[in-house]
Amino acid sequence: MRSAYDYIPTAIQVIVLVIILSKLYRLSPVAKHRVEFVFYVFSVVSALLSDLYWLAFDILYPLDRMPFAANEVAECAIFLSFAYSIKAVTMKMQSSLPEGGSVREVSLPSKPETAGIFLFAAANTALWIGWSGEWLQDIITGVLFVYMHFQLLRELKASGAMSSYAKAALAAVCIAIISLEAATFHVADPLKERLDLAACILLLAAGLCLIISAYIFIFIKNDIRASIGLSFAIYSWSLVFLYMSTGVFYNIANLMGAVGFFLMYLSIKREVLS
Amino acid sequence: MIYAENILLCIALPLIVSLFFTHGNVRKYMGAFLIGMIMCLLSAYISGFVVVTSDAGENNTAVFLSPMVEELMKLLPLILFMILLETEETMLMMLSVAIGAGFATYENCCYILTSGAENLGYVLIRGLAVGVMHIVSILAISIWFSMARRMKVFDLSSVMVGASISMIFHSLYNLLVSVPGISTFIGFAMPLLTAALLYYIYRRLTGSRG
Repeated sequence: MRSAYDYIPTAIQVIVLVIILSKLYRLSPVAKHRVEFVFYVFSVVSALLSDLYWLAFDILYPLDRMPFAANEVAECAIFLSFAYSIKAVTMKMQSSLPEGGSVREVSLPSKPETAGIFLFAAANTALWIGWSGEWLQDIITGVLFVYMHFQLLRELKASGAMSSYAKAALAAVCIAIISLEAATFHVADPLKERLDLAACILLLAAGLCLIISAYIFIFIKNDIRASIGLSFAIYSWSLVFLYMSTGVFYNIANLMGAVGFFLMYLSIKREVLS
Repeated sequence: MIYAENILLCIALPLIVSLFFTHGNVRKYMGAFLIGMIMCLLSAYISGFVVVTSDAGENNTAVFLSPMVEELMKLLPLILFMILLETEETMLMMLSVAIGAGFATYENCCYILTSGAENLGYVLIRGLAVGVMHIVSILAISIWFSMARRMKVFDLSSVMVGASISMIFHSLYNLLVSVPGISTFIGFAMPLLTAALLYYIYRRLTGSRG
């Protein structure tokens, strides 16, 4: 029997999503024709239903592992919705470019960046398969994961939200995390636990840096474009964190996801009302 | 064992004959109702195949996998109407209600033949919970597809979003009613409450275009 403590982070995320949905409903008369708004709403709805499903399953079947179910389809829908929402924001940049300028040229990641995204997502997928054994579902999720991160990278590049130092630091952290988690397959306890703990601490630290950056861009610099990219980056980072962790860190990742959703709402609201 | 194909023929043949004596929206509604019934039978075939070929077992298939199969089968004619026939919004919503009603009607007929109709409570639950749930899930997708088409973003992502929302709604219902207790009552109430919410949203959407 699981304790109430195990349900708290998911319950908090559900409450945050319900509050966000009610605020989005009030915003809908102004924003209902905006593509980024509509896809964001549906990603929130998908996330809410997925969380409710997780909660119901955990309460009704506390000792069972979640089988392949509709929440996996909902997660894929969340990735696609976010990708389309971010893409809509990036494409809006077209009107602000000088004549002859193309948003594709401005925002397209370089070959090393594109390769990095693919390798990072492929490495994550390989780790998921290694942990769960569910190769088909994880490959499909991985493909959509790549697409979402590719669109996110385009927006971060177009908005200038991350300096080259920040990008290099994030790349180093990603390589370190993948290396640490991959190493856990080849070592025994207690080294395995220490490597896992180190990876989780790195994930947490990077997530906190993203949250602080998003806070600065939203509330201090008031840079709408950068805040959108960073707030979406917080949520995607929380997913990487969630899928790699257990126990306390899993709950922290859930809470980070809730923070990401809230910051996304603030950014999208400012973008729509601007 | 029930002879599902025979039941379908028994119910569908008078409806097919009635198509020749009706026209306009009534005929379209009847046609979509028949399609819903056929989709129900095909869903049962696929779910049966999944039970045999996977190690999920009958109960797990019914709770976790059948909702996805059923929603996908209901979705296919809707996509056909949107892409090939370019059906307009109000008609699309009407056809989606017909597909859902046909699916639910045939499913309920088969369940009653299997379990009997003596228990009024069970019959009401089949009608007001399961039946409404099938209608609500497909109607929600049609509303979303109409919005996506209006905004010119009807593509793979929109289809996946619509499919996932209906699948998880149906799966949540099956999950809640699968374990006896308070969750069962929450599950039974869910379709009617969602129908009320959907009706409100539908009125707002049609009212805002008025």
